[in-house]
Amino acid sequence: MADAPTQRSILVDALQAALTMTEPGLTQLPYRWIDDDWKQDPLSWTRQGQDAKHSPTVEGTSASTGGDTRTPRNDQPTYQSEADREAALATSFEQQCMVCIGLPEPDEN
Amino acid sequence: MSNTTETPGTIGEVLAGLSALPAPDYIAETKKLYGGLGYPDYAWAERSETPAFVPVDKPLSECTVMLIGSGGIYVRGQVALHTKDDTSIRLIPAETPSADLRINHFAYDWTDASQDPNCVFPLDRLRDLAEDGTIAAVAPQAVGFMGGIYSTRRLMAETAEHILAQVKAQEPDLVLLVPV
Repeated sequence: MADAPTQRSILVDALQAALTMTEPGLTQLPYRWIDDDWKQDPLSWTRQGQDAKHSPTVEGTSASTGGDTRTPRNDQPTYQSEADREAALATSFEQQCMVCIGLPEPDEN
Repeated sequence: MSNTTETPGTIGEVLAGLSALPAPDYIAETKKLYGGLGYPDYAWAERSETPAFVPVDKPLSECTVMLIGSGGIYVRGQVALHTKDDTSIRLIPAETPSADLRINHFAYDWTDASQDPNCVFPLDRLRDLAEDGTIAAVAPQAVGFMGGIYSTRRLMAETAEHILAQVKAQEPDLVLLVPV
């Protein structure tokens, strides 16, 4: 799936653009999607859950409300997998403090 | 143009060439979306001042580049971000293998990005550029955070301040911000 050469090309062009721009603004890079039709309705995925191959799931919430298929927001850490949750629990908060800025300290209980 | 209808999700689906259609007008589209759901117009933040612009006075090969991404990236072993106005950030060591990068986000389909995080957080590619001398180096700590923070006030007072402190501490020549 990964297309490292294209990723690299876009990245270099973007970085070079930052060096050649002389004022704030947008620079159009010469890339396009194979199929541009999605641009005609770019938020269709919010109404058509079948478009999303993998909608994120949030524990303890339902996936959709009415015609809006966006995932409900949740103020608990949402892990990519249960194994990741366990890996985080195995890491001390002192170590987490070095990498997670803005997190409240965990409750004593 | 292919005749596939798959929603674009991987950077591998892009081709060099001029765009056939202009970039979407996301502000108008979002207003239409919320209006259709019965919500009032989304209150987009508007900045009255032009962002400060600082020209880069050295070639790319001499630049240290810092990566910042709003795609909900964290590292295996870190506390994951949450999806309800999480204003915290995650520091991601530049040497982190992409296999250890994790993603969760409430507002985009991250299936492809979970298989190749470079779609939304091109850390491998930046390391490639540093290795072959295209850039001087990757800043020691990249930053991941959760986009889609609804509170502009908290975004500016908390998330932006956390990020700014990191940028000041690491003193990169360029910052690559990858929004999602």
